[in-house]
Amino acid sequence: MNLITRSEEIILLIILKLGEEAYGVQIREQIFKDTGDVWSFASIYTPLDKLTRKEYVRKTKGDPSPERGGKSKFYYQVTDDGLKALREIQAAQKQFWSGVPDIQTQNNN
Amino acid sequence: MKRASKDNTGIPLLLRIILLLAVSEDDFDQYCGDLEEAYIQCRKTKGKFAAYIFLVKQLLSSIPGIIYSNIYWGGTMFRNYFKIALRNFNRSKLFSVVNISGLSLGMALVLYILLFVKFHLSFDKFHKDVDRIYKVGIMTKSDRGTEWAGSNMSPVGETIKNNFPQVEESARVVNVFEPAIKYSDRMIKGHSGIYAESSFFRIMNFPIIAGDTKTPLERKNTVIFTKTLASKIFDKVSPIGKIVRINNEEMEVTAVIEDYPPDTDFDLDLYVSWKNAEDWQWMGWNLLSRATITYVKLKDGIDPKQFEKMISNIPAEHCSEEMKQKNMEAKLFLFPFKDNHLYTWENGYREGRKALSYVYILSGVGILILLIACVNFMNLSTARASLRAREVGVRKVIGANRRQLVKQFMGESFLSVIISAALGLVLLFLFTPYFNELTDIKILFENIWSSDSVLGLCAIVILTGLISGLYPAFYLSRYSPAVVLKGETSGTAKGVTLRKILVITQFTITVILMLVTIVMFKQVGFMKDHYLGFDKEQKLIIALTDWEMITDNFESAKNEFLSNSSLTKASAASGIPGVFVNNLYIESEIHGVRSSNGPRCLRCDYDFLKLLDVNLLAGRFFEKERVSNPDESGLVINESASKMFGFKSPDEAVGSTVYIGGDTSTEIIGVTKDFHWVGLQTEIEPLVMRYVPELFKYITLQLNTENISETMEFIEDKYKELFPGQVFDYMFVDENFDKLYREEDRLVGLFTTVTLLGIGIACLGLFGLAAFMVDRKRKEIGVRRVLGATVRNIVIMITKEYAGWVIIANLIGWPIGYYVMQKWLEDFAYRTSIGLSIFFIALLIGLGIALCTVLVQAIRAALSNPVEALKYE
Repeated sequence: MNLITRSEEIILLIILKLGEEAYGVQIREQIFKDTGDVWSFASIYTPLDKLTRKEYVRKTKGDPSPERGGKSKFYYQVTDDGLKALREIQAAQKQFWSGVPDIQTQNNN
Repeated sequence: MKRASKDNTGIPLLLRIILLLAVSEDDFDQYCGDLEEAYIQCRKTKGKFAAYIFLVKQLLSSIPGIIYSNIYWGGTMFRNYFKIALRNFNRSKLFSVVNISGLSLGMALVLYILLFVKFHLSFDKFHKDVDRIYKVGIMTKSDRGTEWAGSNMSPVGETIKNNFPQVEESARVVNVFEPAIKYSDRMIKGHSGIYAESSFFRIMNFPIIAGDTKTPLERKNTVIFTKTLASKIFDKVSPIGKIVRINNEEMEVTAVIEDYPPDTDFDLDLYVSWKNAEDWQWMGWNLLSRATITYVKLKDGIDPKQFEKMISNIPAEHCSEEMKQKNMEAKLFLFPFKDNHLYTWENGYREGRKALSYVYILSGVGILILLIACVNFMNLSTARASLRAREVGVRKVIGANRRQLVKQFMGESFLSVIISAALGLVLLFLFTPYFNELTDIKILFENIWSSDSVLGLCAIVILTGLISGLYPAFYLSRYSPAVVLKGETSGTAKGVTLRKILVITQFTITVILMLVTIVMFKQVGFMKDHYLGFDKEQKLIIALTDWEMITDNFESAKNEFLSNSSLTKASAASGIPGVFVNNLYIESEIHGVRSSNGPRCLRCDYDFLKLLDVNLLAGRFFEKERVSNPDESGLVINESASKMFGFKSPDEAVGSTVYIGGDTSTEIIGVTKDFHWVGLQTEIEPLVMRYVPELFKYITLQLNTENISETMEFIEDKYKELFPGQVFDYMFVDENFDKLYREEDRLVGLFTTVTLLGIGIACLGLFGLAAFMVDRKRKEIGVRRVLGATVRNIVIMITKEYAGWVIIANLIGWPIGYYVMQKWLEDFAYRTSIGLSIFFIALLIGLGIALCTVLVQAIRAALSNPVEALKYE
């Protein structure tokens, strides 16, 4: 089984969540909203780049916008392969968790 | 410019540039856009400063990733490139061997030259504050023209020191002489000494290792030895305070100095106190005796140009009368001691010495040889480009861009160059002693590890890598994948032309080197074989250090020697052929007008002319019965001197009166034919001969060719009998003369080596190129053979082209070689003619070697079975 990494998983999920508006700045902000961590652009681009190469996401060029100094936004969309990878990791997660005692109430001390 | 106005609020230009360099064009818009959006947002909410911080943070946080991926992917590609390069080396062993051996030979030579140049530039730089040390020279203007001398009148140094506070120290040395050192019945000769002031050792960094370090030469009759000489005389006993006899004067050893480092021109073995020289008659304000070398060390911050102006008129202050009388002008000048090794001021301007011309010649030649090796590399790489074309095509299809390919091929050439440099170092280690013999200096191989040599080595490697790799890299990376992969891989015509030009360049260089070597050979042979005007064969010279021993009884000594029938002639003299004799100031008088002259002067007895077998043009030579004291015995002069004195013919000279030193009148009794006293580098100089037994120093004997060893034994026995306590010391005139051409011999040796190296490397390249070309033409040759061409036809077809190249190279090289050698020969007063024949010799050698190289390949190809070549069609 070839699972995606955690950062890739987070980014894929966030792209799904953002839908039409999934581009660099938004993705980064959403990560901040969801996790409370500030990710650098570099740490977003690296997994995005890998995902693009694996064709789990597709990159499309949007219209130029003035707040970006006239440069285009690049939107990301999860592909079918990407969805498949997410399903795989979800299944794996379930498998990992199944049979684990309830960690919310357990106390090992 | 719409965008530019918007950019004003955007991210800083610097960051933009960094981004542009770091990412591909496609990604740039995205990354830059994202960053800009976030940046503007940040600025709105948190202010400008925080926004900047944000940007910097973003930038910094991307660095680890960049480094990682660069190393990872770079490393992967590097491994691949390296592997491919090694496979290529392996696949074409011949070419790799040709390339690397050529380059490493060239490298070894260039590295040696690097050390050589470094050695010469470092001369005398070890003296403390060498920038402030100057030699005081003197310039004189008279009816004899302007003369510049590095030595001076002896009071100059003292005067400067006493009157100018700008001078920190001054030191004078005078009169290099050959001391006969006697210590407890042992006589030691063959060394050189000078008279010096103690301050000499305060200016020069020749450390005193034993004895009086402050004032070693302050008293009269004191002497300083070098460590080597001291241990030779005294063995293990401390020399300090010991009394030795130097030229029959008792002297006390007050100090011992360390032996000289290799990078200095000083080679004197002992220093005698200046006080011993001080009371010599000619040591005063006398413009004719300028023999003292004066060093001054200026205080820190003194401008030498200004100081020179201040001291320049010192001679005028002290010698005004003499200057007026002789209608002379004299000025002092300074020249920097640090340039002493490479430059001379003798003509009034900074002129290179022999060492400097050696530096230039060798550097030039070294670069040429390395260039030949680089050309090999370029030629073979481009010629074989088609073999790599498919690789280039595949790489391009997979996605390599041109930059990467250029990098790859440059990397390969650098790999070759680095391997060659390593081999070159090994060769250098092996050949340093041999080269040292050729250049007659001691260079240690270890010097290559000093920081500046290593830097030089790196520079050479980089330069060689660039020169030899750049063109092939661009040439190879140019292939279009579509064309290459379809199978059309023939080399372009442009590459072929360039290759021709490069080979012709190589051979032009070798032709020039060959011409230079041949002319040098010719000139040295010419000088050695040229008749000197006297007979130099079978003449043995005995040197005597105790001059008094010979003054009175040279006559009986000669007779003793002549009692042996193998010794036919004998004569005593003050000099020996091959070594300059001193000048003498003589005033000649023609029609009542006096003029001053400075001919060379030899003191000899009445048998000297007979011994040398020189003819008289007029008058007579000294006669045994008619010689009495020197002034009454008269003067014999040579033809040049007669002309110098202004006589129209030798007959006119005979009987005329001249004035030695300007006052002692002497009659000219004879004029001899001109003969060469020293080597043929210099013109025959005016020479006068006097009969002065007090100055006789040598006895020259004419030997029979039979029973040499017996005769030698006889001479030695007689010598010991006649001059007890003296060391038997002899030399031959012809050997002495050959020594004069040592410098030229060395140059010939050097050029022969370098030329052979150049020819060798060029032929290696030609061999490789021919092998490749023949290989490419296998099918053509096969077809021609099938259609009926003979082996001869094929060989001619292949060799014709190369012969053409060599001929063109000769045509280009001839005028250049001719010009260079014409310049070189100008230094010789008597020179061989360059002649037409040497050009043909160069052509024949060039053609011969080139064709032999190619012929091997051509015959191999022509003899191979055409079936082999054609069976795959």
